[in-house]
Order: sequence, then C-alpha cells, then structure tokens
Amino acid sequence: MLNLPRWQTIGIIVVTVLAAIFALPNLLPAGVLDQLPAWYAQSRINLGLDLRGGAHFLLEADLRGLTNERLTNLSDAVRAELRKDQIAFKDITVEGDRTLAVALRDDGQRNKALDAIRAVDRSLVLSGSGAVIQLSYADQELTRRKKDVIDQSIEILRRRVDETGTLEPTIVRQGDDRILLQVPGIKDTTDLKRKINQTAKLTFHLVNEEVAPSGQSFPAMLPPSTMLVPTREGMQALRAATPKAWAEIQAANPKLSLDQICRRFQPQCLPVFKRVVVGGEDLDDAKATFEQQTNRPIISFTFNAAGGRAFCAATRANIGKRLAIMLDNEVISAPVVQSAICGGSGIITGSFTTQQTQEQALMLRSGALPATLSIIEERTVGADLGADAVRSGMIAAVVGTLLVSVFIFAAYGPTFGGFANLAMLVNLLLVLAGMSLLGASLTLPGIAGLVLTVGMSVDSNVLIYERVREERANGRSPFSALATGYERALSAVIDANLTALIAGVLLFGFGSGPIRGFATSLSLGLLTHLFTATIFTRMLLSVWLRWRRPKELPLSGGNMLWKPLRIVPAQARIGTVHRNQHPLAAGGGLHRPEFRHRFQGRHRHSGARQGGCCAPRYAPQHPGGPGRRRSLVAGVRRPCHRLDPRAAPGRQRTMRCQRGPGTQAARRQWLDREARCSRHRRCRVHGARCARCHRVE
Amino acid sequence: MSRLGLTILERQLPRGTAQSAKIDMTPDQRAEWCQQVAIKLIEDAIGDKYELRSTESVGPKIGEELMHGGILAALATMAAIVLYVWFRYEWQFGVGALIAMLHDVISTLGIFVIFQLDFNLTALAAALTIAGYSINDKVVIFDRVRENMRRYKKVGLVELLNLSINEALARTLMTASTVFVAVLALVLFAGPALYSFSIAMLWGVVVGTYSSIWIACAGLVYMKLRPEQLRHEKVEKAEKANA
Repeated sequence: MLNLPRWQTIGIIVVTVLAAIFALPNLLPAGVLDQLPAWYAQSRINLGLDLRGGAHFLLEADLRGLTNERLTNLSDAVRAELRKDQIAFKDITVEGDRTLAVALRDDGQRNKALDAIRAVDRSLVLSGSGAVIQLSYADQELTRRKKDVIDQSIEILRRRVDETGTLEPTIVRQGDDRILLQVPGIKDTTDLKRKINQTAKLTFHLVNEEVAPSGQSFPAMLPPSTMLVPTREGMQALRAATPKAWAEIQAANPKLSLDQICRRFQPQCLPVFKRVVVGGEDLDDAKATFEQQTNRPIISFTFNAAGGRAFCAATRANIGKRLAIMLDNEVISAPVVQSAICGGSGIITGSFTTQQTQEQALMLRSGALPATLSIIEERTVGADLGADAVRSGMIAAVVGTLLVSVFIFAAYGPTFGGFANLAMLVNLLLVLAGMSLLGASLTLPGIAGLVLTVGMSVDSNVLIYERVREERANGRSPFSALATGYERALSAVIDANLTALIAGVLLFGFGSGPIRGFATSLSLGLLTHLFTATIFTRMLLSVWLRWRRPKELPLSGGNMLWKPLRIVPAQARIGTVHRNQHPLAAGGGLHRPEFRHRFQGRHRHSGARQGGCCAPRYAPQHPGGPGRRRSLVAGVRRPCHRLDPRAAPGRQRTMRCQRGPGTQAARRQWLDREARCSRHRRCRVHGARCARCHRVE
Repeated sequence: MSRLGLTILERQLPRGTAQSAKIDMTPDQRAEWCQQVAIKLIEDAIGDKYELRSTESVGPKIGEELMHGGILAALATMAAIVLYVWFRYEWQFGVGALIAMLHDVISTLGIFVIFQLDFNLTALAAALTIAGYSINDKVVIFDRVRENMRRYKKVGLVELLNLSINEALARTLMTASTVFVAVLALVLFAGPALYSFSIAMLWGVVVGTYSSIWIACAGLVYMKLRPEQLRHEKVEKAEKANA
C-alpha cells in the first residue's frame, strides 16, 4: 500500500529540491545574496506594507458630482441651442442625478426641440411626452465614462505621486469608482495627501466687472453667464476666522456650490464669466520659478499651440480687463490684462511659498484629475514599526516551529517524529517557494498564517501515527499496521484539509489588504500540506520500511530509551454523549463526579467502556442530584481494575480480569457480565481471571 | 483638538510599550473628511514630541462594507463547510458540524467581549479560521463514527459515538496541542498587532477541541442517525436488492 512507483519518488524529490531552491533567497542573509545572480536573488517574497512601512490609501472618485457637473453643462448647451432655434421653453431642470427635463411653452414645437437637442449630443436618450422632454445619458455611455474617469485618474495619480519614478507605488482600480494607492517606504504622508486631494483644475475666466464693480454686495440674481467664485485669500481668511464655517463647507453633502459658499459665508468672491477662456488641458509645461524684481515664488507655464492661440486672442480682445486664474474652484489671482500675451507662456503670481509653487507646478504638469478623489481608508506604517513587526513575526515563527517540533519529537520519538518534522519543514519550504513564485506579498497576518500552517501541517502525521498505533495494538504486524494506518487515516486527513481550505479560499475572496495575506499563506500552506501529507510522508514511510524492515514500530516506546509523551493514556475512556442529551447542550463530562479520574488511566467506574453496551449507568442518570450520584458511584466497587482489551488472534478474544477488590466470586460475576455485555457475546468464563470470547460481528 | 471637539480615548495597547497609546474617535466624528482633519490635528499637536508610528483610518462607508463582507464571508464559509460535510458524510453530520462551529465562533466572539479586545478584520479572520480549523477535529471523529457504524451495526448510537470519540481522543488532543503550541508562540512573541488575532485563535483551538469531544456528536443522537441511513449502506442494500 505504501509503496510508490519509482517515478513518483523521483518526482517528489525533484519538487522538494525545487521548492528549496526557490525558497532559499528568502532565508539567506543579504551578504550572501549579493554574490548570487540578480534574477535568482530577486525572486524573493515581497513584504507587505505593514512589514515594510508605507502608506495605503483607498480613494473614491466623486462620480456623482461629475455627472451633475456634466448635466449642468448640458443644460447650458441645450438652453443656447433652443434660443438659437427660437424655441420657447419655460424651464430646464436637473432631475435626480442623471436626467435633465426641458419644459416647453408650446408642445407643437416638440419635434423642432427634439432636433435641436439632438444637434447638441447625438448619444442622448430622449423621453417624456407633450411639452416635457427628458434627456439622459445612455447606461453604457455612463459606464464607459466612469471607466475613463478612473483610468485617467490613475494615470494622473501615477504622474503626481511618482514623478521621479523611484517610489514604486501600486495604483490599481478597485471596483467601480475606487482606486487603491500604495506607496511603500514613505514616511510623511502630508505631501502625498495634498497631491491626492487636489484636482488641480486650472481655468482662465474673464471677470464680469458689471455685476458688482464695488466688489462686495452681489445682486440676488446673477446673469446666467456669470458665476461667483471665492478667492483663495478669501477662503484662507474664512478658515482662519471661523473654522466652524470651513468645517461645514467640507462636510456638506452634497457639496455646496461656489455660489452657495459665497452667499452663505461671504468670503471674498469675484463674479466671473462661466465661459472658459483657456483651460489647464492646454498647458504644455509648468515650472516653479521666482519673479525677477521681487524674488517672489511664482509659477510659469507654457501653452500648447491651440492654448497659446486662444490665450493670445482673449488677451488681445480684453486689454484693460481683469482675467481670473482659477485653480480648484478658487480664484488665485485676477490680474489686469496689460497687453496681448501671445508668446504662448505666462506666469501665475499669488501668495505662494516656494514649496507651494513647486507642488502646484507638478500638479499642473500632471494634469487635472477628472474627478475629486476622497480618502476613504488610510493606513500608514512607519518603516521602523514594520521592521519591528518583521522581527517579532520571525521570532514567533521560529519559536512556534521549534515548539511544535519538540512536541512532535516527544510524542513520536526520533524516527517518526523526525519524519513528521521533515514533512513540516518541506511544507514550509513549499509555501515560501509558492509565495515567491506567485509574487504574493507577505504581511504580518501572513506570518501568522505560516505559523498556523506549521501547527496544522504536523496534524496529518499525528492522525496517521495514532491510527498506526491503534492498528498495531489490534495485533497487526508493523508493516501491515503502517500501511493500514496510513490508508485509513488518509480520508480524514484529506477531509480535514479541504474543510480548512474552504475557509481559507473564502477568506481570500472576501477579505482585503492584510487579511488577503493571511488567507494566501494559509491556503497555500494547506494545499502544499495536502502534498506533504499524502505523498511525501508516504514516501518517507515506505523508504524507511524497506530500508529498516522493523520488527517493532518505534511508536509505542516501551523497549526503548525514549518514552512517548501521551496526552491521553492508552486506556482512558471518557463519557461524552449520553442518551437524553439535548443537541445544543454540551454532553458528558465536566460536571460529572468521576471526571477527576478520567485522565488517570484507570478508573473506578465508567458509564462507557469499550463501547460497553450495558455497563452500569445508574449513577449519571440518577435523579437524586450530584450528591446522591457521588455516593452511588463511590458505592460501586469494581472487582476488576481492568479488562485487558487485547485481542487474541482470529475472532477470539480474551478478557482478563486483573487484581482488584472483591471476592473471587464477585470477580467472576463481573467478568461474566462484562463478557455478556460486550460485543463479544459468546463467552466462556475460565476461572475468575479470564474469559475467552468469540467476536460476534 | 478641542476645537473640533475630538474625544480622545487613550489607552495602552495590549503588551505595548509604555510609550505607545491609541486614539479613538467617537462615532459622530467618523466621516471621512473628519478623520483626515483629526489625523492632521493630531500630527500637528503631538508630532514634534512623539513619533506617529502608524495611523489608520477607515471611513464609515468602507467600515460598513468590510462589516458586510465579513459577515458574508462568515456565513459563506460556514455554509460551504456544512455543505462539504453533508456531501462527504450525511446531513446529520452536517448539522452536527454546524452546531459545533456556531458554538466555537460565538464563544470566540464572547472572548472579545469579555476581554474587551479590538474586534478588527484580523480578528474576524481568526473567527473564520477557527470555523475552518475546528471542523478538522470533527471530521476526524465523524470519519471514525462512520467507520464504526459500518463495523458494529448492532451497537446503540450513544455507545457507538462514545466509542468513536474515545478512539479518536488521542488524535483530537494531539492535533489540538500542536496547533495550540504554535499559536502560543504567536501570542507570546508576535507583538501587539497580532495580539487579538492570536488570542482569538488560541481560544478557538481550546474551544474547538472541547466542542469536538462534547458537542459535535451530541446532535447526532437527537437526529437519530441510524446505520441504515449511511449512504454507503443504502447503496449496498440497493445492490443486494438488485441481485
């Protein structure tokens, strides 16, 4: 049963050696690694962020705000188009978060209006009846757009976070509207957060000087082409003066419009035309420099050809007027246009520090984020904390492995314990190799998973050995006991591993971040364990059997120097289930009076022995309560200490009554009853010490 | 910090050094932006005197999702395990396994309540691992019960279960001990980040062993499992009838 074909043995050895080779770079010290070829030295397990130190952010793009903005723009376009075609309408309103409703004055003009709207955007879905037309974007159009927005954001984030290309950030899409950003090894996240939080949307608008020339009180109704925008200084002053107001603006959901902010909190605001003269997308480059006369930090920028032309035309037509430079919904400055600027470049002045100009220039270079990103999850771990975690994790892993192997040696001796420990080590190597090959990263919970794997990977050996012990005790030859024990234990081993694997895989599926690391190492460990338990151990056992041809298995000790550590004495029997037990109640033992004898190997009374079918059961079920039971149990004196359960060859079985209290007659009576009651029905009692029974199956 | 009305619950990390402390926020301050502000404020306030070794903020939305995901994962794991046991054995065993598993997981949750440990994602992972691990022991015993049922057809169920559990007892305790020893190393050496995970696992191992011996099989008596109900027996009978 145990024998393996030669090719399988060779296969196992090859797999093991390969595993050792792949796992090795993880275990070697740095000095040795330097001398190895790079491709080999680098195939190491990546350390997760929690071990390496670094920042982990989960970002969410504000797609709703984006759709809203888009609908507002659409309503402007539709309004203009309808006016151009002289179609009278009462109102254009945004309904919900994806529909625009146009109410016409005369439903006779409906067809004309529909044509006009189609002229604006062909992809719109039009519905409604009579004088009302509802416009919405098609579903796939919206999904495509969302996808574009996220892809674009990822690209821009990459440029912003890692302009120098040395940080190796991980930036990936997660779900529909989320981005996972991981930057290993970063210590200060303040800069990083600023880079994430800012959309860096740069636009140039003309200031509408007619609305409020004095600059302070604005009329309640602005012309539809104009909007109010707070200035940066105004917002900073507001934040310094009334932090509560600032907090309210940040917390508002849905976000307050610029107009609302201006009217409610009254920071310094400017009325500007909604029409964008030039946008940040036309920027070619942006640099942080200093103004020559004053040495103030400024940002200089260059337009691309189209942007340069548009800027030139706009400045030429508006000499003497103010041009507002708007960045992220705030007016940074609004200088008066002195002359036409046609060189394709310009500068932004404002109250900047050097650091701010550098950062701002980077943002402008990398482009505007198409949607606002907010941090919805953040984890930062300092590098030294990570190093601490690695150290303590490694100590735990080493100590755990040592404890387990000492335990196994104590329980199963040098030979079999050695096999189990060898299998465990091979398992560990396989897991490490597997993680290296898969490129999985090792997190702190992952180390916990490894330690657990160590603890669980000797389990199958335990199952096999215990079964072998049992088979040997039942009188099988060493060879047959090993083969049968192995075979019979195997189904339980596989079942046990597969159930645990189910948990591991589901954990991987549902978990995130560090949990995934745990699930990875645990599941990998269980998988490789299936290999070591079913094939590797088998190979060891078969090779050993052929080599040694043992007369006795070194499992039960006895004639050896080493005495096995047994947690449960061979003869121990404990009551576990009884008849009237509710399924939700724990069965049996702890409250039963004879419990203290249970682990002492021999016991004076037991409700269940050898599956003893009619052994006395009166004590546990006596209604008189525990006190009465105790006295009853104490009253029962077994004349025999032990019925030797050793089976005689064939279907016969001898039961031997060893010395005990009571008369010979009592012993004989007991033996007789035990013999009758046990599975071995046909018994003849020989004298007072022995009964020979035939097994009835 | 008081400007924002931040409430700070300061307490020692378990087994942490005396220099480390933890700051928690009250529920109404857990909006994403507020967390960011709080982190900033804390950095400004104590950043030059202390070193912030790690910060962690999970927004309410994500928190809720993680919670949902976790509960879903727990339910799915248990369902999958029960189905597996059912598929491999009988439905009675599946129910027995479920009862024992619920016992283990619920009492693990109880440990968190009693010792006021942080119930974080890792702890949830521990609960799930316990569900997966504790079933190992049960499967070993179930395997033995099935085997004995085929062998001793006349023996009553209660005696049979007792016999099976006793025969597998050494195995159950040995396997539990190896895992216990390994997890003990985690509790003692793996540091504060894994503390609640390891404690949960340690307890789970103990409770899982307990329930293997005293709980998993008890349900079988109640469900009146009979040898004839074993799939193997059914097949044999059908074959006999056909012959």
